[in-house]
Amino acid sequence: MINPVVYFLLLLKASLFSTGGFTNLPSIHQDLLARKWATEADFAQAIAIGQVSPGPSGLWVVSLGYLTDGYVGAFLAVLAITLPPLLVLVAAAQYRHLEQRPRARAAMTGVAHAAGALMLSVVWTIVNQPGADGRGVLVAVGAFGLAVTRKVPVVVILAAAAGVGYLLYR
Amino acid sequence: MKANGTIPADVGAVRHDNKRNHQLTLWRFFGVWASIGVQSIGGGAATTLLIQRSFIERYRVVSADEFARLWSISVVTPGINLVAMAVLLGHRAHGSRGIVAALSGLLFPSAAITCGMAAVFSRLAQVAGIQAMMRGIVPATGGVMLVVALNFLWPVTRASALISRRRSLVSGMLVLSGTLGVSMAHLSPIAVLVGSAAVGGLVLVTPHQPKPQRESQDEREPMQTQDGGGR
Repeated sequence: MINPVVYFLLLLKASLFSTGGFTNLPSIHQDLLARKWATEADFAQAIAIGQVSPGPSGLWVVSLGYLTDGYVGAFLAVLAITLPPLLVLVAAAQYRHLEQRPRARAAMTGVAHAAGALMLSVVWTIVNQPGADGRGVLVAVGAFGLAVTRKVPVVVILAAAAGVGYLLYR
Repeated sequence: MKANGTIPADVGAVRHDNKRNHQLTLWRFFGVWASIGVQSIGGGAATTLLIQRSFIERYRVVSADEFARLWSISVVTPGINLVAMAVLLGHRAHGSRGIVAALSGLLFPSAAITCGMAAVFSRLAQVAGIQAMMRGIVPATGGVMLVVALNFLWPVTRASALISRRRSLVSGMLVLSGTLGVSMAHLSPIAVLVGSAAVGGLVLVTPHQPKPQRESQDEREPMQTQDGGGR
């Protein structure tokens, strides 16, 4: 039987000590498996759903919440991923003071470079997933070409990619 | 719209000098976020691109370089960066009500759809046609993410290029080493962020920084002026 308070606190802890959509995964994986509140299959399924469902990639936690504890689990998951990012207001409040200092400003410029690099590393990870092949790279290049025009909605690009995937891999 | 007392004016203030931004009522703001939330199939890449298009290009809530600045704050904040970004953009557009509008618009419709998908997906996951479509969608999200990354890096690296060749080189090295460090050496993203902050703090210190984009010059507030001149 899942204790909702403990369940929420575990999800909240994982979110507090992570940055990005998937870095809370190891902590949640460890805590829920240890209590037998989730199975490996739940995690695999939740991550798969997170990839095809709309919204930020971190919503995989919501599907995990639903799979493990129904609508209560999903609600607690939404709450747990919503609260920690509110700390950004504190960070923004401090940022004004920091930005008056050239060295702190330069450090934030360094962080901006790192943030871009992290995005590029995500691209690398995506196109090098197990099972990826040359056809997948072509799909990625095609999606890039459409997205860079700014004229094609992203949802249309991904729908087209689904169609291409169906034709190529079924 | 007044800013929260503890938050800098530049974070919470509505930009009345902006021709597009004043059209963004609270309800429309909520609608834009809800639209982003339900359209952004494919995870963070699609979401970020839609946010860029909506709030930089269409409604001009922020400029491109300012978006990069806010993103830098978001990535050092716990939790999902895009949620933190929604908090900042919500606060900028409509104060605390904007935060509620942004978060509820971004998260609740998409979370409801996610729940619905969780209910049915387990039955469909093994269907060969669905798996084939996923093999098309996944690399496409990579292509979309590349556009997001380039949109993000453009103002940052261009600002370096305008200052000096040396700074431009450092800028390129930071991006390259960060990308390879995480992708090939499997470094922790936190380590890359901290390391880049340290290198930036040591090497990228300049008393004057250029205004990387003309449109952003018009939108800057005194706090954001890098030369301290209070434009």
